[in-house]
Amino acid sequence: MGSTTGARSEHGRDENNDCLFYLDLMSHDILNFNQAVLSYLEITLNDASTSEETRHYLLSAIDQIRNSSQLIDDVKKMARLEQVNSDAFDTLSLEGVIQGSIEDLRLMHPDMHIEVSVRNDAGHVNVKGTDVLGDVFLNLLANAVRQDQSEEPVIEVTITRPKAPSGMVDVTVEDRGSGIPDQMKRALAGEKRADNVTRKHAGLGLLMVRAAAKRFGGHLIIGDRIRGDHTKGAKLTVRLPEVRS
Amino acid sequence: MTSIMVVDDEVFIVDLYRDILKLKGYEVIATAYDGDEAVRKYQTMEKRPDIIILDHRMPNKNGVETMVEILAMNKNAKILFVSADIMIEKEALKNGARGFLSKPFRMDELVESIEKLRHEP
Repeated sequence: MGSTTGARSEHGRDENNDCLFYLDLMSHDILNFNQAVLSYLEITLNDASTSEETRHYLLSAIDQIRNSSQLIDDVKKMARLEQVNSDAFDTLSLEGVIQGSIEDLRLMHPDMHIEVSVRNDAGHVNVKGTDVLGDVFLNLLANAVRQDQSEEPVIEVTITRPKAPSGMVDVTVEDRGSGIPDQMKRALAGEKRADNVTRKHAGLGLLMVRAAAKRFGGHLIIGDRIRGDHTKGAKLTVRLPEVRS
Repeated sequence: MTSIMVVDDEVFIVDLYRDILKLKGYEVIATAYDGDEAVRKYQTMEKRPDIIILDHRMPNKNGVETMVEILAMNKNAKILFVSADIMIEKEALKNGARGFLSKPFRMDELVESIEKLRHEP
């Protein structure tokens, strides 16, 4: 009985790996094709002899190429998350992972001054995870930069232990963006897969963070930087189980 | 005129770079269709390019391996990493790429990246 279940599970893993392989191959090639289509559309758009009417059509086509490319990127990230196996989790220094994500954020925006403060009230904390955990924090930080309309975005990161439940640690990222309306908070807090409307308006970024936090044994808590006024910015907390040595 | 070497295993992408770069006033002085070919060509070039545009997923040697070997030959080589695989961005930048563009990029983004690298020491 056990071996049959094991074989079935192994077979499922193989099929999953095959799917991921083909997804990766397909998305890589489509992005290359999109590159050629996008560039030749742009060349035609920039041609002085192109009429205004044709320019309008070309701009619509360019928009759709960019939408298709974004969709591919988002789906790839989600698929990578689904692949994470808890047996392969490493013990990671939480503050080390966060500092790595902050460095990556600065690499992504070399010309922008981003003020990121980190307050660690929990001391040295280890958690279980993979390199995807760095992507989780990078995603939250990049989201904070995107939401902040100022030229010098301000982001506050805090590491704390919640009063309850015990054995958990919170990483909170607060931004000064336009915040997340309550309806969207409820949709993002849902346990089931996001519906099309949530996906469309929240983007896959926060859904990815939510899925990864869950995979690492925790969850995502969505709030307002100023309680009760979502327009002053978002407060996103990833709560993870602490590894006790 | 800024000289550029293009390395990508897709022939239509190399042709595309030629078209865009010519239109924007740059000179493509060399092309390679895999990492191994890129390293061999770079090693024997009389006049090395000002900038190398480098893909990641290629036969024989991938982009990061190729970049490491080129930087070992010339630590000042200016490499603009361009890939459809955004997961490689961190590794590319950590290993010495001066810039990273994910496909599909806009022509303006490519020109901006080239100009930025051109003015770097």
